[in-house]
Amino acid sequence: MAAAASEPPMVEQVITEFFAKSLHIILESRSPYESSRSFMRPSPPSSPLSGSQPRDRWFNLALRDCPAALENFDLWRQSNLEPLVIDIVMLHRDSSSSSTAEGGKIIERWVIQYETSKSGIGSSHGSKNRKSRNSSSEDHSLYRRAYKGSTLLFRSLHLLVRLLPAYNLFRDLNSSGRIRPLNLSHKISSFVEPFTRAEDAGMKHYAFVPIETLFGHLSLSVSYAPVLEVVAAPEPTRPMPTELIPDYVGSPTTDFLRQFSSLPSDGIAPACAAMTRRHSWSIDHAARSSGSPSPSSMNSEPRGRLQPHVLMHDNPQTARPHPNSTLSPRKKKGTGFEEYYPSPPLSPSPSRSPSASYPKNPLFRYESAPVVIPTVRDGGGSALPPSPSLKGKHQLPSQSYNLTLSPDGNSNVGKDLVRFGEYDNKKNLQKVLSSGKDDLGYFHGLKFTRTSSKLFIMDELDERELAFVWEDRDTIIDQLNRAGISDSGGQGTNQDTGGSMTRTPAAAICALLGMLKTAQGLGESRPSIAAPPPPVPQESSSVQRVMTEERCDTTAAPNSALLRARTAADALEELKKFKEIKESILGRAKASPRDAMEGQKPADRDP
Amino acid sequence: MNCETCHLNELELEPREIKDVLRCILHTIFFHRTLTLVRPKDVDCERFQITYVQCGLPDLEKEVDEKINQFIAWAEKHPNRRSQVCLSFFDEKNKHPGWFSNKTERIYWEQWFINLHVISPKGHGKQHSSKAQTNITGEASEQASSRHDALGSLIQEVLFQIINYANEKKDHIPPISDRIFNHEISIPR
Repeated sequence: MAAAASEPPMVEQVITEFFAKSLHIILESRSPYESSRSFMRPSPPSSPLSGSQPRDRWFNLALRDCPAALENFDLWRQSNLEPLVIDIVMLHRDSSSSSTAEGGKIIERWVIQYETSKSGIGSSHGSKNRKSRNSSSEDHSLYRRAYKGSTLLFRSLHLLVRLLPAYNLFRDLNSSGRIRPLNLSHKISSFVEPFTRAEDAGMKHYAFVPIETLFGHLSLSVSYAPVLEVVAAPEPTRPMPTELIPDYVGSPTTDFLRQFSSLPSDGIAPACAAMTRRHSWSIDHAARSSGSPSPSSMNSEPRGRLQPHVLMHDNPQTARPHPNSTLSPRKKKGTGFEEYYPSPPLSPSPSRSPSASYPKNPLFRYESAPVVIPTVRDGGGSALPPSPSLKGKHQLPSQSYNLTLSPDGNSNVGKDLVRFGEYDNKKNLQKVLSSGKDDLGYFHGLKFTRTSSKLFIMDELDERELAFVWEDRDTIIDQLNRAGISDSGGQGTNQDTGGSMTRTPAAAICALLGMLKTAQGLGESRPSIAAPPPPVPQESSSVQRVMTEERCDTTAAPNSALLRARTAADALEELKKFKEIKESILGRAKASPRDAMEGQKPADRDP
Repeated sequence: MNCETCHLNELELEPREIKDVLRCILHTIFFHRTLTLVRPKDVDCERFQITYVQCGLPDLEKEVDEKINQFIAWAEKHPNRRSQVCLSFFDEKNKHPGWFSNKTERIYWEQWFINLHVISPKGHGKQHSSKAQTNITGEASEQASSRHDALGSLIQEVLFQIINYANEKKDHIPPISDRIFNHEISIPR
């Protein structure tokens, strides 16, 4: 490539790269398919004429991959004296003409050229003075000046190509792979085809300040159509964009339980895979139409974007796109769903037949109602299942569970219990435990009683035993009274009394004592019953009172002792009563010394 | 060396538009005056349907955002006022070069004045009565829409203004170095 007037080699290089850089910047924002295809390709090796600096970094403007048009640029470019004309053509796909640039409308024409002129910097020196001047330093100076000027120009060019109307079309085509009625193409030539009068009348012009070189100047100008007049052709059938259903997997904004209902089954632990049940609310959730907005309103934007522009000024330096001529569809902020996987994963719904799913545990009695099975760890794990009146509201699947007793007697649900997942189990447990109200909840055969922030679980009890346990204490005393008084002729042994079987009141007392001593402990097989403290708190229910007193200090040994202590306390009260009776009897028996003697013996032995 | 100044066209905008407008203008100026190697970064201003270019320098972006936030805070305290944001480029030279003097002198070689008129949305009109509220609301929305469109066009004009000015005068610009030019963003106090 040679210039008519021999520029210094460095300046010559700047001129060459000026053409290449201009083409690169323009095509990068006007050739949608080339840009997208070649985006990931590495930059081609720099031209052998470009020197050490990579071509994409010339003028300190590192651009993306070089378009295909630049690959052979150095080969077909014969001379820097030839102008470089880049026509940006808008094509209609529905036209009968081919998709080449021949049948479209030129919406932009970029002209880059190097012109020698007498006004160049070196022209004043004249050819004779060139030999006398310090060519090296001046060449460097000229080079720096041309390079700086070109650098500034390309900054402006990079911005200008994005302000012109054709950029909107480019963005639209580049951001979507859909078939569009329009297309952008380009044509590169080394000669300028003059516009027709009509075309020229509709074009605006803008020219950059030329870059002065030693014997000429570099110029860059553009003629562009300020208004893109496009007939909005009906778009062909286009595939619907993938619509994401935000609520399907349960976004955090939806109801908590709905999140679980929409969890995919493959994200569930295998043990819960079989436990699926559609709830009414889950059905509603699934049937609800999903209406996530498309990532870009591309269906309507292209038409709006290509509406005729409205010119505000005749100033060629300004271009005022139509307000609706927006850029290519903007990416909307994430409206997609957010996967919500509670930890640990749970099945979306509990099973109606827990007995078929849960492993049998001898400690528990299974009932038909599915309930929430929380985990309680260290006394603060998960929430208790709701009361039977509320269980329909919170139903979650359950896994196998195990009940273990801690050494301190508090009942803890083992680690196999189903957890609520992300639901605040601890909070629920605190709510439950702090309710302070006596409540009876059902937990697959377990009856929970909550009294005064204490939880007791009874297991493996027959209903009769439970009924017996929960009877009123007074009733028991009455029963004992009836047994003692009515059985005046009954058989009874009392070792303390020497096995005498008398029908006197004293004998009755002895018989009663014997019965009490030999009577089977209440709930003898219950491990949770503990020794009560001497003062018994008054409760609305005697059973709950009894349960409140229970504490497990040890696992096995103190049970019988506690029973004995309890029965002993009752017996003591009974004995007090009988003491009174005895006193009265003794009063009567003063007349009979023998009876008095016999009655004293058991009395002596009273505790 | 004389200090070249450029006064950009005044823009009338609402407080919520300050950030986008100032980002667009300031980064455009910086892009023209950052002559070090840059990898341009396209930024889509959704509000005004404008794509402008940044230098792709995180520190610069952070600095610009900080100054914009300061200006927004100032504008909240001084509503409905005309103001200027000034972007200056300067060189630092030792005032009295010597062993023990570290005084430097700033020599400004270019200043850009961004003229803004921040208007309060309430200043557009009051809703006098409930009966006419719907009509006023409709008219207000139309006015707001037209004002918004006009602002977008004005911003583009300002960008063209920057392009023109940046290319017309180049001799005062210092030589290209490996660092961005010293600069400061001044906001009213």
